[in-house]
Amino acid sequence: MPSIRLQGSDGEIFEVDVELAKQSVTIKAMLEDLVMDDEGDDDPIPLTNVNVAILKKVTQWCTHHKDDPPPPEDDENKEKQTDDITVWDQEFLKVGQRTLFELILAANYLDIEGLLNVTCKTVASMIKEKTEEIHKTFTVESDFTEEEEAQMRKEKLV
Amino acid sequence: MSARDRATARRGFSHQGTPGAWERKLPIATMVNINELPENILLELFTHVPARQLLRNCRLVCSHWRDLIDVVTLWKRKSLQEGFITEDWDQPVEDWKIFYFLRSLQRNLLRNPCAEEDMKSWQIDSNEGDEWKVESLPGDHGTNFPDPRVKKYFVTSYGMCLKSQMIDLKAEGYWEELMDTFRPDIVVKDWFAPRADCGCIYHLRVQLASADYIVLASFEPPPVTMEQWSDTTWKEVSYTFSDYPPGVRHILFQHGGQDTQFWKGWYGPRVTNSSIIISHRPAKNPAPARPLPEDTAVIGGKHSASAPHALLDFF
Repeated sequence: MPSIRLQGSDGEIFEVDVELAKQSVTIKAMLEDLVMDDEGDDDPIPLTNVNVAILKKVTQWCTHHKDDPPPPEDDENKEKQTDDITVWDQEFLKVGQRTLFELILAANYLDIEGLLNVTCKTVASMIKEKTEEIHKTFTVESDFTEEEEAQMRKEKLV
Repeated sequence: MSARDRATARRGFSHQGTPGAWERKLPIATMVNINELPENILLELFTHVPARQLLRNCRLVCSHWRDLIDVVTLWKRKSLQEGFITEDWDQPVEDWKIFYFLRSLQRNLLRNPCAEEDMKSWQIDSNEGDEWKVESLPGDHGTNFPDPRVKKYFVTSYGMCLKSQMIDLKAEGYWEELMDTFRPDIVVKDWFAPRADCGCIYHLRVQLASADYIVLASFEPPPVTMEQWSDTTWKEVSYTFSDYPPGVRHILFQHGGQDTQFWKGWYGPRVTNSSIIISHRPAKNPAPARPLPEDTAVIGGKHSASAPHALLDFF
């Protein structure tokens, strides 16, 4: 089982099965470039934007999903509802907000569609709340003046 | 430079990450707040939130969220998700948010248009002669309907038979600002046919009204007289209300008729497959139309106000 070595932002090296790593379109492309160059050196691939802790979690997800069918081409496929997150994924994503965001960023950087999808849907379900709750959940402050806010509420767009 | 360095540099990964993914060069470890996520990620999150929630709650969180939610791409993506458009859509759309909502709401606002539920949902305004009745296509001395999905029709008698429906736009999901600012086209259609063996007259009236039932626009063509032994093919009448004044909250649709030879039974005009559909095209002029004169009728009366371009083939 051939493996490759990835270097996280913290400098730590992390070894992972090549086939698993290829679930990341980013890494897959880099590997293809390297094969073309045909120099065969053994330096680890630097992933300066992901630390190894998150890399490990991403690998865990990829391992569980390694036999998933590839995602269908866009046009015909309608977005599924948030309720479509599998139980395994739900458990996997029962992490703190910070880790959740880190996973989103890692999935985006590494271009792993399934992981990005499921992490975004998870956060989206937290956004489906009333404005005040969103402020609390995400520690975001409103920068509207009282008048602006009153005006926006009056607009009654829906 | 090693092969790996060249590869990473080629893709711009050395310190910038995936092109476009990073607005800032912060390592992930220090990021804690949702507002520090790159814009394209926040947009991706919003595509997974139902439209109503976005407008009602998310938009009010802070100006950053409001600006993102107002971004065209988000609504274009949502429209794509729902199948309202295809990837190669090239028709101009001025406001994608409004387009999305209008397409979501789009459906026939008239209930029981094809007599599948007998007379349900129709208010009977006039029921003379032997009164309204429901029959199956093609009916005696009648023709089949062009759409095979339509199986029945309503038929009138030797006295005036009129039925109507009053649509409450707010109850149907068309909120006030939507109707007043964008004033989307309202397309009205009806189908009617005579019996071959008897003459008859067909009546139609459609009115747009304010919350207080003041008529703001009206379509009431002269009644159609069909002679005995005339062509029994089903005829379609179609009319589009466009650029109507703001304030429309109700739509009244009324039709019917009677035969011209006073025959017992049901020899008057037949009607079916009526529809009122609000299109996804907003009015061309965003400015409101001029106010109506003071003697404008209240709904139910015969006087009609402005009647913009008629699209009918028949009248």
